[in-house]
Amino acid sequence: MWYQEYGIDGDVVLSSRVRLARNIQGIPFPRRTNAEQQEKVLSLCKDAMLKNDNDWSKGISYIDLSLMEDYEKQAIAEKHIISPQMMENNRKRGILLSDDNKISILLNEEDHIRIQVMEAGFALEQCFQEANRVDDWMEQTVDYAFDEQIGYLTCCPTNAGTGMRASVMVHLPALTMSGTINRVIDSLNQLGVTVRGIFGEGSKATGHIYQISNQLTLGAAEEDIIEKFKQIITEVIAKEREMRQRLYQADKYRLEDRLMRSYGILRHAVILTSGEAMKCLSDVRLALDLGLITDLKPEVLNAVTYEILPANIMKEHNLANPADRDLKRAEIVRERMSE
Amino acid sequence: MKCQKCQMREATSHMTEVINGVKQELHLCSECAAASPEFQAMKHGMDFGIGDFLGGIFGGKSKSIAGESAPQKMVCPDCKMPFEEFLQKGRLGCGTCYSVFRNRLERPLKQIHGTCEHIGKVPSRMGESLRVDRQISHLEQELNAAVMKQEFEKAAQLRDQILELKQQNQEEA
Repeated sequence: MWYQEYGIDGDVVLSSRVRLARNIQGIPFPRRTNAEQQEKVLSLCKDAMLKNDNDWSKGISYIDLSLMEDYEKQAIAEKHIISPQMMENNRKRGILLSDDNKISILLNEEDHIRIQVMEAGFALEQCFQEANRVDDWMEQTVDYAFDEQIGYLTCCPTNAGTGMRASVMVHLPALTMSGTINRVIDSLNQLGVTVRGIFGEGSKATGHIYQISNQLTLGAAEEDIIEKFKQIITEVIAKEREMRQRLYQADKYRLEDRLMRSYGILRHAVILTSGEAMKCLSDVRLALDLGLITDLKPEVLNAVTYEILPANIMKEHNLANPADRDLKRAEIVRERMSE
Repeated sequence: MKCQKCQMREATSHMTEVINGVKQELHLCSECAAASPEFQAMKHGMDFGIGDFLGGIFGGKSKSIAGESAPQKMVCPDCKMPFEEFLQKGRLGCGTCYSVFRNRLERPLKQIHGTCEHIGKVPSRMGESLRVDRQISHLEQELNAAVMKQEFEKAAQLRDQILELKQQNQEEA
């Protein structure tokens, strides 16, 4: 799976994503559709992606969300494939998902079609090219709602135009610990860029992980939006790296002690809540980057970050009771840390 | 004062309730307050989603536009969504809403994005005629300018060019 990989600038950028919002001409946007229209959206898109033979659609399968249990949907949401809103069961929804989970096409979310491509590390251009390819393919058989002046039409006018949202998941422990993160967020907001917690709108930055995305979707070409966003993120990466070094130099032993204690907890704890695990994983990630830990692979950290989330533990190990999950979580982490 | 629940962070949210004559005080930090049922109840019915704010931008200061008596009463003929609902929820009902409510959407779209001219990707199947359309409207602007400057020879050339492109477009359709 892509999220276990360690990509370019992986010490700060955990993953990149590009999303294109599209709607089908002649059908109201999902929140104003009836069951028949919802079904039509699903079948049009399934046909477009699955019926035609092409290299990459072979690895794509359809998931019917209405047939899934809440915790199964939650597990997909924890992997950032669907938004929490998509879990609601008020209309027929589905996902076209590639085997490696890099490509996901959400059907009947806020818009009929949302094409998403995710990659490990800082790889926005790659994501965009791939999303563009999927979009071209979809468009061969699906008529999009498109306006000559406004561009691609979306349910929320803030997405209209390109319908494109680019985002990165970044680990910013140093900017957070040093208390400079709020100034960074303010500045980014002024540049048309939003910063949110790890699980999107309204969520907290658990484990010092933030999601940064562009806001403007109209009036600039996709490539230019990506380029500008890339430059901004490059600056964020540089600031985080610089701050890590400064923090380390400011009080070497105290920082080392704190980070290595977290490593100790992950290696030996018997009970771990997801909050504590995420916090310690953040410390260990930083320790690894500062060279304090050498016997651990960053890929292991990336994998374990997803494995320990509540719904994923529930799905993999069938544990409904939170206390049982905390035991299991500690076990998973202990094993991973001694790999 | 420390938060009564976590005993760690500074209490910033305070509430005094009198239930059956018994006075109860709550002093919580913002994180604990967000999770507490008492403060949840206080926020009941308030929406902090983007809808309300968008409604403000799109509906606020709505001067009536000539030829439009009561904008709030406008309804999209395709999806039947009243403009009023858009003002409340900040979401449009279908592609046609963009044409029907265009007068009302343009200025706010400019406020959000700085412009309302899409210059990005164009669906390739619609692409060809759209490119010609854009060329035509560009030439028409030039034609107007030429007429204003009384450059009639140039204007005639432009007019012929436009006619040719329009014919080409019709043949393809």
